[in-house]
Amino acid sequence: MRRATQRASPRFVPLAVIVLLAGGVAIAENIDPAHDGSKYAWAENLGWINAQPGGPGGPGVQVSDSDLTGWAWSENAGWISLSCTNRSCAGEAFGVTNDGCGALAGYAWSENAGWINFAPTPGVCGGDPTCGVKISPTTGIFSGRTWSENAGWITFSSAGPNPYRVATSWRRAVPGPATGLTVTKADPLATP
Amino acid sequence: MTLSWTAASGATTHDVVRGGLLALHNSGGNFQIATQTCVADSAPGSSVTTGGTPSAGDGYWFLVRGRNCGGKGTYGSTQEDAGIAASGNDCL
Repeated sequence: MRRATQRASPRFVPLAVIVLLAGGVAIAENIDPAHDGSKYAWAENLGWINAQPGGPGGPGVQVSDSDLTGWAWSENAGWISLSCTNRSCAGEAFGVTNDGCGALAGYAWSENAGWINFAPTPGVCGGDPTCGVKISPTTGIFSGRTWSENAGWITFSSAGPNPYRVATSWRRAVPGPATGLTVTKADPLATP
Repeated sequence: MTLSWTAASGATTHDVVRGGLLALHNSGGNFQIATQTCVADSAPGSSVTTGGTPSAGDGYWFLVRGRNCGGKGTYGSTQEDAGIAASGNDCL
C-alpha cells in the first residue's frame, strides 16, 4: 500500500461518518477488551486520541493479522482513518498494515492532522528505539510512536507518571498441529 | 535418519521432541516419563536430520509442533503438551 499525496477533500463531520458506517461498511472494533480504558494514545500537538470512539461496538480501530481499519478520534484533529477501506480506496489508497506479528507500517489520514506515519524512517527516528509502532502478538498491547508532520509524535503507551496505553483483543494465533510425520533411515548397505 | 512433516498451519519454525517407546508403553502413556530430548529447537523448514539408535527391543517416537510469533502450537493434545513440558526435555 502506497502513501498517496495529500489532496483537498470535502470536510466531513462526525455525524456524517457514523451515518456512513451504519449504512455501509461493517466495523467491529477490537480495542480495550478489558474495558480498563486501554484506548488512548497521546499526541504532543493534539492531546488524547481515542482508538475506541463510540465505545464498544462503535466505529473504532479493528486490528487483524494483516491490517488496521476503522477510526480514531481526537478532539483537536477530528476523525483519523486507519484505512481507505473505511470509505473508498477509489481516490487514494492508504492504510496501516500489520506484518502478522504486530509490526505496523503505512499511513493513517486525518483531514486536520494530515498523514500519520506508523513506520518513520531512521532519519526521522534519530535512533529512537521507540520509533514506529508495534503490537505485542501475545498481549495485544501497543507500544512505540508514530510521526505526523502536523501532529508531531503520537505515543501509544506510557508507564507514567500518567499511565496510558492502547490495547486490542487481537492475538497472533499459534500454529495448528503438524501432520504427516515420516522417518527415513539411510540404508547402511547402500552404495555411496 | 531424516524426519519430515507437513508444516503446521501458520508456523514459521518447528520443534521436534523424541522419546522412548518402551518407556511410553510401560508408563501407560506418560509423556513426562517417556520424553528424552529436543531433537530440533525452532528449526526452519519441515525436515531435520538426527542421529541415535534405540536400544535393542526399544524404539523412538517423535512429535512435532509449530511455532510463530504468537507462541508455541501443540504436539497433538493437551496431555502430550503437558507431559512433555513437565519432562524437562521439551524444546525451549
